Amino acid sequence: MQRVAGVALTLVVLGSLGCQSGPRGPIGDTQGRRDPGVSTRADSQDPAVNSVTLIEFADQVAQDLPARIASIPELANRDHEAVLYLGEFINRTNTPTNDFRLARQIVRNSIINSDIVRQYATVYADPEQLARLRERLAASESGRVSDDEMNGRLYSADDIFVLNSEMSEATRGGGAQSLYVFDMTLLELKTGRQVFSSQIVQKFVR
Amino acid sequence: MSAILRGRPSAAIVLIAALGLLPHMSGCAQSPRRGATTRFTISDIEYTSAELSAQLAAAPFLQGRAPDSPEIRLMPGEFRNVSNERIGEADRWAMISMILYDPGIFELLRSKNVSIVMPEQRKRLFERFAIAQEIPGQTPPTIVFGENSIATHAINTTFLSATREATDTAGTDERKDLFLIQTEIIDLGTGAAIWSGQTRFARVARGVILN
Repeated sequence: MQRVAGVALTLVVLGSLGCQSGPRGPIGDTQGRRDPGVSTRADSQDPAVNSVTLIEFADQVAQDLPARIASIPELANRDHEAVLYLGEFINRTNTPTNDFRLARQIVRNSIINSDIVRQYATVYADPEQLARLRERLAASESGRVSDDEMNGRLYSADDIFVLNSEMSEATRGGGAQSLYVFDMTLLELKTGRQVFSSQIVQKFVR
Repeated sequence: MSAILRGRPSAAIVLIAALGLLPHMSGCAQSPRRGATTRFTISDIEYTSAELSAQLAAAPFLQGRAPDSPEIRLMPGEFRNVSNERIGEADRWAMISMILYDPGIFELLRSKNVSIVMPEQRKRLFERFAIAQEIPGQTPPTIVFGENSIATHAINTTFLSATREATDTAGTDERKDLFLIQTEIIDLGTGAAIWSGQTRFARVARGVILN
């Protein structure tokens, strides 16, 4: 009988120890902190796009785009460095625009730190700087500007590429079903021609 | 059931032990704690600073530099909060200070001829704690006090979040906040972004829809 009681007590102690996921960290209370890649009930019930899908999309683009840059002739086959601006995004969904900024920031991080991208282009992240540059290019008779903001180098519109992004949504059944389409495109500023695109389509049933 | 247990007292003890395990098992499932909030904790600031410090230590632009490289004067720059979290001035400085004055980073920046520009009014505070005292023969100083105009680079920080909620009608009242914190070093001469560090995590709570 005592042996059985001992086994039972051991079970309870081991069970409670098993709940601890390894040794406690050296700092603070992390209660409620979660892996951002794990979907929760809030993700599946909220009418906005699942936050896990949002970052999966951003991670995929962040992975694809730097690798693809080297295969884009307009960027790779140049005798001087191009300029890559992180441009606008269009939100056609019920998801707050701020959420999409988060996804774009993930892509931005990847581009800025990519050795491949840096080999072919300088990355600029200030949209106001792009707007000023566009105005100056439009006003320039030669089509080239010496931009003091860029170390006085000469730039023309065909040196400049803009990364735009767009998110669309189709819903049915009062939000019971949603189809999300995420697009990211790299455009040549001079011609407006698309030189890269990435798309992910996700369907949700709530 | 009770008849079986009456006949076998050892089975009863094991059953009680198994029942005793149930609360622990539900804890293992890591369901969000009721009544908690998804607000930032001190540990979030510590984890974030530690992760961003580690990323800055591995930054390619630093690896290509030497003690005799042209000096970079780096100032804590723009702080943008576009998240749903309230982040105070003290929290902001705490985070950026924990990144830049991490002992490893401090020495790394010194060895790469990168100085940190701090506002003049903070000089007395630094002197009081004997931080960054200039030692003759040991250059460059890691902290330069002065106006932001003497800086060549800025380290900007952006906080973003995405909030998801499940309402009571769905059988739960869970809230999830996905946070993303990004720091970027910008060359103030050209506007080019030369490094970006990023960390992300989620906070989940039940019983609270508004923090």
